[in-house]
Amino acid sequence: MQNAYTKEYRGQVQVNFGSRTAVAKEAPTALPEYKPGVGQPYAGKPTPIRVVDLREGGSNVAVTARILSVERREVEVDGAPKAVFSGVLADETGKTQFSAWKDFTLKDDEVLRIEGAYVKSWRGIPQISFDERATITRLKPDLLPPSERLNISPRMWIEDLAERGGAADVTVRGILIDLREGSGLVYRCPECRRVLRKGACRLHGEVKGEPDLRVKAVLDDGSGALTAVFDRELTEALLDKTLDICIAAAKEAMSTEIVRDELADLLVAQPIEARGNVTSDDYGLMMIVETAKLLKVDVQAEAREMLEGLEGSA
Amino acid sequence: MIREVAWRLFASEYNDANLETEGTGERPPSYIVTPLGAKVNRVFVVGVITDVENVGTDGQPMWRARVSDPTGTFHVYAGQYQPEAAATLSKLKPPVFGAIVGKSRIYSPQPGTTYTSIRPETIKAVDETVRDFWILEACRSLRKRLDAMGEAQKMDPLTKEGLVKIGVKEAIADGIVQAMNHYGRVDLSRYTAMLAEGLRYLLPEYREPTAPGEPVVEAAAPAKEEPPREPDESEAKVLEIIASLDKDGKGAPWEGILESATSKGVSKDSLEESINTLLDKGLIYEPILGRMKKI
Repeated sequence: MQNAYTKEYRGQVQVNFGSRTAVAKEAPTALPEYKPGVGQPYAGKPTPIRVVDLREGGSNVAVTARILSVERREVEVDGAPKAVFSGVLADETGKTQFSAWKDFTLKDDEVLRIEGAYVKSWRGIPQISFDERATITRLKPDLLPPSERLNISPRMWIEDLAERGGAADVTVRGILIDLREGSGLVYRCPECRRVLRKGACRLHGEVKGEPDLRVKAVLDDGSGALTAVFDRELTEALLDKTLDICIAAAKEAMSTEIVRDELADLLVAQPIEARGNVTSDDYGLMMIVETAKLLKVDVQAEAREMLEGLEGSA
Repeated sequence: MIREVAWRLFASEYNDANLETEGTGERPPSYIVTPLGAKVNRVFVVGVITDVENVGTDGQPMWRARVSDPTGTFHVYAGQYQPEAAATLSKLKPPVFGAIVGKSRIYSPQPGTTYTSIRPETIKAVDETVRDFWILEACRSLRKRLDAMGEAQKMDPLTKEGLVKIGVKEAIADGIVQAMNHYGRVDLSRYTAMLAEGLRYLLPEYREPTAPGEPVVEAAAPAKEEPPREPDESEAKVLEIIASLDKDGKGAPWEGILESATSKGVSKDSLEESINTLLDKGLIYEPILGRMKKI
């Protein structure tokens, strides 16, 4: 091949042939025999990568990480049963879900070097996968901090989450700048759980809806924005009111808007810390919130520190 | 389409901007690029809403609100296409702390003159804690841009790639290159002073004893001599009169102030002078023509 060119695509080098590329046949003996197929290791050295830098589409990567949890599951692949070993692994930069398609006898807490893994998104979150092409080396357990240190939910900026395309169990701090439509007291289709619009489900038509509480809000941290979804339990905690009380209030006011208005009063413009999984699709980022709290910030202490830094550098 | 981030930035930096650019895509978003390279499509602002006025007609109202932060004033316009924001604005009783999320707007009636404003999406009355946290966030954001712009001014040639290499995020790097091409080398000391001003505003040791939580209405460029914020003796007298005559919350009527001032031995000329300085110092404002109100 002459006049081919190389390009980087998702962290990997690719060889590309264009209109100026000349292709000529060589004698079959010019290269040693190559046996393609599953089970063949990748050509070339694996790229070392930190967990925080894992991106969808990455292949032949190498990570050094501690297994935080692992379990065996039986799944069906092309009609045949197959065992997959999945769980969570972490390094100092973050944690990620993984799937091992071969039994490497992985155990909780052990520290490994995994070479020849690849990255795929599953349900909108990038995760690391590896199979018989991968090489596992067991390392000394004190090479990385203990599990309880690695198992925290790292705080991330939304711009980094956007670049990464979602992440499992992260914490963001930002301001709830807007409540989206469908927040507050909603009615769901008993068949598919979709929220009804004007008493009707998009799929099942007019049905008797089941009441539920939720918040869909825009959380913006100044670097980016995501849609944060709070379930009934979290919404009840934020309101300090049960679903039944909200239903009664809406009945009395003859409108469900009253619940939405109360949530808006409570939440809009407030700084909040939220923890959960962040998924990514064409419409942007969405966090399914696990825990949340309104932030109390010592504004004076932070301002003083920044001012000292400013005067120190001037 | 990914939602545009809401920038926290001070009025004085926002109002310095006169560059408008467009993004890419089918419906390209428009941005206002500030001299420090903030590329603003959406803003989040918390300040004191000092006055709200219908500058349209009764049939087609257009509500204008002035929102003060420690550095200057934002202008917010809500008309028939922002029904919720307009409804909220029309019911607010200034002065009140308000949080506004909206889109950046720039208007140029003639070449060389530009006015920046905000077209609100949501407006909410908030408390001082929310406002203080906003000032802190606006300071942090300004600090980031100052640092990045400082690095950019050292670079020759300046490229987006060069900035990204030293750790500046791509979106910010893009804005910085556009700002440098349009505004040239801006004087960073002005913005460093703005940052320090914002931070001091949050600290009681720098706050003037008479004015807790009081907004500075005029932008204070460091080159400009800032008038002392303490009222002098006759101004204090006038302030007292205005406060005592403001019985319905709509402000003290001019006639009443004049009458009361004359009876206390303040001449009309000196009264007018005092009122002008009080307006300049941001201690009073004119909610409607002919009425004065203490902030």
